[in-house]
Amino acid sequence: MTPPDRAGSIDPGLADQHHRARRLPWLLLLGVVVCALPAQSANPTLPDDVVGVLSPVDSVPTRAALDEVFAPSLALDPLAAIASDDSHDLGIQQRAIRALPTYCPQTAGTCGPGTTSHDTLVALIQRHGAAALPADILRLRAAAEALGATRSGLPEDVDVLLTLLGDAEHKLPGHPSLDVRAAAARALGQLCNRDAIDALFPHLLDPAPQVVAQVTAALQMLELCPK
Amino acid sequence: MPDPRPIVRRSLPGLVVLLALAACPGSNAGVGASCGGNDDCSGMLQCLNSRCVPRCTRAPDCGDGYACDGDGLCQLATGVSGEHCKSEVDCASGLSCQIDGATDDNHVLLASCTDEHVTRAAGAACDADADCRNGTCALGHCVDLCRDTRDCGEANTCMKIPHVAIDRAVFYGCLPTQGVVTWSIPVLSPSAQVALPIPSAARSAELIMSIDGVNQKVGAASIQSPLPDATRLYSPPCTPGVGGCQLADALDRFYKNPIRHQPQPVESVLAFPSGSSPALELGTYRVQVSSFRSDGATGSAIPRVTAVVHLDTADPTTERTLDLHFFFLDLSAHPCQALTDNATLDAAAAAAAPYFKGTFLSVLRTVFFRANIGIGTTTFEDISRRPELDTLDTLDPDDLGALLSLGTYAGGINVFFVRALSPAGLQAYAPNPGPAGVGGTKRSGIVIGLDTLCYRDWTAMARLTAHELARYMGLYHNVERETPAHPDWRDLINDGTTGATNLMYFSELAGSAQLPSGTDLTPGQADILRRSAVLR
Repeated sequence: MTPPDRAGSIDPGLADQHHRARRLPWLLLLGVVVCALPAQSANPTLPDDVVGVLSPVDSVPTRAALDEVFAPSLALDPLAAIASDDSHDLGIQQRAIRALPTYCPQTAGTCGPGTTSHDTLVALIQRHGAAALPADILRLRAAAEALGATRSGLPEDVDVLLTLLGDAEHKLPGHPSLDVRAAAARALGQLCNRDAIDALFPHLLDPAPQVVAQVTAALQMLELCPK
Repeated sequence: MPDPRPIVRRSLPGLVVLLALAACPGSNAGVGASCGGNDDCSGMLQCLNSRCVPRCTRAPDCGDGYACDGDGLCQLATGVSGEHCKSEVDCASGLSCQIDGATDDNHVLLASCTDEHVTRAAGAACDADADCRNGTCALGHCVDLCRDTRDCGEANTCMKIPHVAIDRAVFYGCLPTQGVVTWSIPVLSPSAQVALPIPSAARSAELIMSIDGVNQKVGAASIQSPLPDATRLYSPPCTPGVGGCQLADALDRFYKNPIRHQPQPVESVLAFPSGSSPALELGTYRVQVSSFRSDGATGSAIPRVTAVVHLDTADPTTERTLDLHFFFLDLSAHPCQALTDNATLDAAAAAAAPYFKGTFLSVLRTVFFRANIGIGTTTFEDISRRPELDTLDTLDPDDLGALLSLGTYAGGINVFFVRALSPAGLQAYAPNPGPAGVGGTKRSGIVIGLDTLCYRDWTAMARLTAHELARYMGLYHNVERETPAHPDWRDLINDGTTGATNLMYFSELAGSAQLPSGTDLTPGQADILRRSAVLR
């Protein structure tokens, strides 16, 4: 099933042009802002209000706050750009990654291929799938968690997350970081595709109790998902 | 030879007196010596029941039925049944000074000597006056009436206490000089008014409200200041999406309340004062406590309510102490171990490692020293075999409650180190405010995610920990990101605190990307911190 999202209903080439056209004002704005940036700014490539919305200590940015900073119709692309750019402050980048699902189409199960949120997250997971550096592990964990939060329910997203968790049947090792495997397990529960149940069961034998706990929680979540 | 016996017989009483005088050490008599009056005893002693004993400092030094006067002498109480009294020490043994119900022109309750009830002693927990031997139950405890602190037991002070059942009426009673008084207030319906009495020595007060289940919220629906003003100090924010309420409307109402509070799932805390004004008043606050459905309507769950009053008669600038109790989930094989000497951060490591005992705790000491609060006892404990909590989903009230209820210390603050927090990017969590002075509730502590160490140092960790400790203690963000457009969206401390260098600045990047700073405190913020019931 193709999700009825904004880009999925138009020609890919046109979609690309459309995206480039939409990004243009943002890139121009970014260029202007970079030149005008004060020396004490938290990140030399981002304006202060963007840093402000992506750096609270004890809350995560809401869509309303992001819309206010970026302007509603322009928010997603710059957010995806920040999420994808490893040169940004890691705290800011993680929050941008985690905020992407707030821009998914509102109907459950419609945040799939062709949507910026979904595609950015999948690309991040693929890019950092073999992450070994601490910062990359955090990026990967954030992306896995965010993909789960899209609640796409798509089998291809189940596969993406199972790659991180490993595949006992095919003797594919999961990610060496127990934090990544635990995040992937929890995300599989939130993704809400019951096909993941069978694939999750073998991971109840994961050597890390944190992963086993999240697999257990995911299986409980999946039981509540529609068949 | 005349018979000498009549002479001896006549002289005998005088002889006995002489012998007795010879045996008595006179005005230098020590403790335990027999005496006929205070003059017989040395200067620091008094004659009580024919024995020299140390002078009293408080009535209980003398025993039941005595008062201790200003000279340190025990005075036998003479109040008989039915006689007017002002203090427990006015009434003879077997009687207690009990409130009659009438008041004088200053709204002070009148009392008389009455037969003691055969029930609980002063200081014991109670639900009603009849539970107490002295006939007075206030703040959930049996309270002796008093005229002066000398009438009270050790570590207690005579202070004005409002009587919750009689409007504007107060009495003088003995309560702890410094510390926390905690008691349960029974609630029988989903929405009910509770009375919260604030004695004259109170520095802060709170209600901890909780319900079972996570589908409803619990909190205050209204707060009314004591009579005669009876000002409404709080109205709950509207519910976004209900009745035309937008998120900005709800936030507007939240920030405009003189007392800041937000009903929450599972458990919420109402603590005040929330800022520089309104000041905490002597008298009875009336709080409508309620459970709420998702649309803001009254719920079906019956709230449980615990009241906490922090008393402190000392000068408000006296140094106070904050104890910190650190708990470590399983942090083995954590990706950010480079900043924990490439070893697992656990209780043993934290208790010894320079990065923790040195850097981290030093920054905390420096920050709280600015409020004249010293870091006191620090404890370190591991929490093992709770893998489901090692990474904490803060959006899951069950997980949050399961972790924080492990914070059993009532004094100080419980600090939990977990591997990471979810949603990703969240560095810390603290109830704002937290249930200060009460341990083991579903909000009894703050949580710090260790994954911040992958991109910040221990100094930054200390800043964000201090920020969350301060939120637990009742401070709010000095400004929010939206403050320029919404001037009311900030704290309630009227000292112009808007700077990014302030501890309560909302952003972790308060100073610069490389060295997050922001540890300043204003006098108004220090005052709120020093009122917290977590301190000793």
